[in-house]
Amino acid sequence: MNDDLWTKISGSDEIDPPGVYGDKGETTEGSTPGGRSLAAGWYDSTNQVFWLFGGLGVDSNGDEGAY
Amino acid sequence: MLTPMGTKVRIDWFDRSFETSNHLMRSMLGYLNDLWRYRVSDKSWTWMSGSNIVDQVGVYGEKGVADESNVPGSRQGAAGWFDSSTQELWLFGGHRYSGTAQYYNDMWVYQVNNATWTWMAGSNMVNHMGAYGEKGEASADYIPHSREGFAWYDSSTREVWLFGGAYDCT
Repeated sequence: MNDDLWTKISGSDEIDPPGVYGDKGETTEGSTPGGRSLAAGWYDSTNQVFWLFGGLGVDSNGDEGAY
Repeated sequence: MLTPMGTKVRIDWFDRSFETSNHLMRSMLGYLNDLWRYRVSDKSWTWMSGSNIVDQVGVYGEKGVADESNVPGSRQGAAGWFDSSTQELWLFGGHRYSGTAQYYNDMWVYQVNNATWTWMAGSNMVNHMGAYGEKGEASADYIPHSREGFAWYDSSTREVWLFGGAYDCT
């Protein structure tokens, strides 16, 4: 990577994009989490894997929530 | 006469403002409990656990026992840390809104190697007051008050440090 430059790696250019889930546990082309805030994240530097859990955002339907 | 009336006006205004902002927030967003993995090598996201629908309740199972059906409830602001030696993702607390503010003090571990969640400590009820004991004294019975916030993990000692956070007591 070049120094001092941002590179977009993944995700939408739009705000509040819904998640594209695919099948659980299977890597599917185009899968991506929906837009969110205050998720928990972990990085596994050995395996170069990033993990993401929860947050306040939109699901696969672009929804909303049932309050 | 003036003081109570003034106070009432301010409360009414506050209530309306709060309700309006809450309504806006609630009409657009929900709380998630999905777990995703991003693999740098092939730039791929994989949905690993949880729901693709917002506002899910947790499935706790038995404390300390892994089960495929276990999963934390939807939330924001949970503290998380990763133990590379055991390949475990850890999660503590967080918050959601469902009619009222709900804060967690549950602690979970996700074992990467068998893709299961285990409820390890804390309460399966929201807004738990915690059990503090004596300062500086350790016990398996002690647990922090429910909150959302941040934690630090020292991998050399396998200790988690937690400070402060947020809890809405209104």
